[in-house]
Amino acid sequence: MSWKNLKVRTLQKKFRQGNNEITVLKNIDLDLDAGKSAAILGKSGSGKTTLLSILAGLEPADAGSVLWDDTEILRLSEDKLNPLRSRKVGIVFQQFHLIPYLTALENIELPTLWESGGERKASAREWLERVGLGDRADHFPNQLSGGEKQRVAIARALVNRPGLVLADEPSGNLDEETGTRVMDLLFEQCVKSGSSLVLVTHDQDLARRCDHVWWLEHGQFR
Amino acid sequence: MIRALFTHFLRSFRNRKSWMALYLSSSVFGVTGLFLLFTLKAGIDGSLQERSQYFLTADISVSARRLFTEEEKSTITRLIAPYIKDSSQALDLLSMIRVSADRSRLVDLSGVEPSYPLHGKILLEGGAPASRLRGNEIVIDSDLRDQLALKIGDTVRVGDLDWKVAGVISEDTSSVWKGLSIAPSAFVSRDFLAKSSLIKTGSTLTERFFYRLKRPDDADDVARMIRESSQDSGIRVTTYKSSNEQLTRTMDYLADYLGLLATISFLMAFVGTLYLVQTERARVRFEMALLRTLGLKPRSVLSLIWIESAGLSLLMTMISWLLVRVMSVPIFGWIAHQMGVKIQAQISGGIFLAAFAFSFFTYGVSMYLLLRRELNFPLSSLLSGSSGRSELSKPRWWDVLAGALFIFALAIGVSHSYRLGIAFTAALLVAGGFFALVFAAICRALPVGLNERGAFQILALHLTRNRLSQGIAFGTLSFGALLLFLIPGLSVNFRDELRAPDTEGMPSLFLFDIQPEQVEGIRNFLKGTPHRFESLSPMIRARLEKVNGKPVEPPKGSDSQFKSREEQEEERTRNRGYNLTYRSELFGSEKIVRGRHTKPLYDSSRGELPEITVEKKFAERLGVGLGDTLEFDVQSVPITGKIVGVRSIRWTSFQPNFFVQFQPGVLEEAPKTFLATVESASADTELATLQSKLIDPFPNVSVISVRTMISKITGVFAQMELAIQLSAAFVLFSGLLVFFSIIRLQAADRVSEIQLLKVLGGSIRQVRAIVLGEALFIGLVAVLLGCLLSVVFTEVIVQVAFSRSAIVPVGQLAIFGLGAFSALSLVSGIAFGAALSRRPSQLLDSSSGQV
Repeated sequence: MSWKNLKVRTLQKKFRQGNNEITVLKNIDLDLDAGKSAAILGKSGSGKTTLLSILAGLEPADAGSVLWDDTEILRLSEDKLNPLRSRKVGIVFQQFHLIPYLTALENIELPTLWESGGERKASAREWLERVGLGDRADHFPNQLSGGEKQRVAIARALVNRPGLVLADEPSGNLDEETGTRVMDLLFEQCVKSGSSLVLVTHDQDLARRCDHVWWLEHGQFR
Repeated sequence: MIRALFTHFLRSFRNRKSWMALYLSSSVFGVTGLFLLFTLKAGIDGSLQERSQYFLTADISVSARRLFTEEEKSTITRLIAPYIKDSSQALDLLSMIRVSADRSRLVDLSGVEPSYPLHGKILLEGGAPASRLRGNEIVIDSDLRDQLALKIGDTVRVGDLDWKVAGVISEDTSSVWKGLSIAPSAFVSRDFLAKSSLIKTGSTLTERFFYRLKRPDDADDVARMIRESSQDSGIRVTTYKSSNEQLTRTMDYLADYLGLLATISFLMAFVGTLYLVQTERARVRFEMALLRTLGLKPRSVLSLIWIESAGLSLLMTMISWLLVRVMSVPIFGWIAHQMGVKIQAQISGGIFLAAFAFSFFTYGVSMYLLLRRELNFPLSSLLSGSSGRSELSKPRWWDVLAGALFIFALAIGVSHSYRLGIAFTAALLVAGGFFALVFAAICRALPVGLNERGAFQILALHLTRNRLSQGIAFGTLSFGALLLFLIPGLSVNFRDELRAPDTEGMPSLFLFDIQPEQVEGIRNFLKGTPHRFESLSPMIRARLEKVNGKPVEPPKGSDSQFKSREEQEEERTRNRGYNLTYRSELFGSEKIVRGRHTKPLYDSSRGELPEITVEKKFAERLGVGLGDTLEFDVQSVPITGKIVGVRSIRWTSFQPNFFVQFQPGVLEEAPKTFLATVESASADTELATLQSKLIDPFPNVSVISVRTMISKITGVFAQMELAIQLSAAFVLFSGLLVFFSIIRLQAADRVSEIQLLKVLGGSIRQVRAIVLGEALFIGLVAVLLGCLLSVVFTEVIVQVAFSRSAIVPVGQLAIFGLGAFSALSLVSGIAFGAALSRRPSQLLDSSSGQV
């Protein structure tokens, strides 16, 4: 994986609710170099999740640009964007989002399905071991605890060694102790794989572990 | 508590509108079909009950297929005199009416008295009553007028007499469903007819006595008195209450078979309901567990299920009621036009309740069977965050048995036939088992893990790891496809059966009432012409007295309780006189299926009983087989025969076919008439001329044009087929709605999964290939399986019904298959297209812990 940076310029996003137009993001600029981490903080409704969606290419913007490694992604069609995402970006969801009829190992393999390569399974198994679930390869999500599910989700996000990992409150659905262990794992593995990390969180202690902290207020960075 | 549960149901309903809409749309046509059927039957029964006195023309009728003896007449009169207000008599027989050398027709001739009918009216154009006939006056049906181009004052020949056309019937309240009668009606004076030469020994006539009672409610008692006074089972006593049963037997059969189609529609909706309900398992599991932690007793949880069933069923029934109100107008109007009977669409409270009950039990049973284990979800799991199993539990054997019994009871209740109910249930179970085996084989053949590159594995894993839910979807699609392909297969074979060309030995004319002394005359008449005199068969009237030495019990008379078709047929079997024959060789229309044909000639010196062969279904109805004996009363002479063979008969051959055949040497001395056929390759006009020419030298001989009869029957069955096809289209439409619901739900179920696959790198094309590929794969296999099984079922049905191999309409099946698959593809494309086009950003907003 080669990754230079994440760049965002004059990003804007509005939502329409009935006759009202609400500006969620106004002129957001940010830069994140390879291997660095950043936390996005803000109150509920400040636009954190919307910003993360746009950074992940899941939501379009009304204006501005998002560049993954100098590739402008907001103008790309889904057909081009999705495969690019699987190579360059990993996403960790608050709700885990594992496919219920796939085993832990198969869930981790998912991002690798779209590319050729005989190392796919080996890579997935390696990541399963890395997150400490080597003996749970054949277990289904409903047989895993919340923390274990999130660890599988982290492994899935990192299996392709992406340059950028986006995490939306990854410990939000976990108890404090488990959450701490999961976040330790996430930080550790991002460092080991050299991935940049953008983290949406409420937790200021967690935010302090990052290289950058961005406060989002009224749609702008403070 | 009930109020609280009902409030909870209303809130739940408010928040699950799209699921409810899917359930209602997929099930409503199934319930509507049953609703329509109940309403149709009630409407027919209601109309006929109202008019039953008109149909019978009296409160009681006593009839026999012969002339009553003076003793019989005086016995009846003496018995019932205190109850009688009015009486009348009639003689009915089939005879030929001729206008000219090339215009003649078989006519249903009734000789009536001026007092006829005692109820209802038969009026001529102009309003005069039809029964005030003098001398040789004849009044005719409008069909006969049109066919023979007759007008008032014309002279026609019937038998050896000339009759003057005195009027045309414009209204006849006694006639019902003329469509299937072999001859139009004509009325003459009874006294004049009795003195004519048409009444000969052995003529096919019926003598009837009609009575109007002082109190119509005494009809059953009076009928019983008459039956008990006579040991002759050939004397039939009919009350106005039971006359509609007999008159509408054909309509009942049609209604029963339509009922089976409605049952299939309902069952498809039932299977669709199973699929829809099982998608609710996560909600039910969580919600019911939560309610239990908040204080609800387990019993009350079940009550919630039943309240939900009741609420949805009520809504379903009301929607169906509206649909029936709209649909019944054109449908009943069409049926009324065909039957000549006005039918009111009576949607009584009982019918509404029956439709509600079906809907209630279907939803309730589905919910209970599929989700009862979810109802016992351990409450502690709510705390641990475990969401329970993701796939349905396998049904237990008693669940399957309960389902099979439900279907069996439904099939019998709708078809009124144990045989049909068993056959229907067995066919469904066989088909279901076959589909399950194929699905299991497919799952075994698919890869078990993500072993190779490509989207195919996810398709395979979704199929193999959600076997029950996907199996139900597969089963529903397969059943629907089976039905789809069954209809053209059966239609083609049915139509073909009735359109067999002459080259296959179908006669052109069918002759009956031939006196013995006329046989040579007719043979000589036809000599030197291109027409061949064939299949000469003696016919001897007899009554069945004993089976294996035990007297045959006379029928008990009708009542209003449920009677299966088998019971009705068995009763009719015991009720009828029989036409016996004797022949040394089998005709081409029959073959021995058990035992052997009779020996060429009876040898009384051997001290053995005469040999007989019997028709297969007749033997089944009577419960007799090889070695059993039947004793007949042949003009007061008891004759016993021993069954040595059982025959199957191709009744549509229009040959003289008989239920019972004796060997030659037994019945030659008995009074008889003859039946025969005329086989000819001549044109219809030449045959019409022949028909007319036969009347003068042989005035009592009746002639039926087989070609005309086939054309008429084909026409009637074309209309019945239209009814069946319309019903089948209705069923197919309801099936398509079920398909659509299933696919819509599958798409909705997989929205998050689809978004996740896109997020994880799959292009739209790849993800579409996965989800659509699975739907189309299941659809294609279902269509192919349904087609294959329909060919097998059609072969079985045609073999049973017509004793031959079925024609496979390859072209039609291919078109249907293409159409079905296209419809499925379109529906899948629409359903999944919506899911594919949604933005994956919703994953960041989702509140569930799983995809």
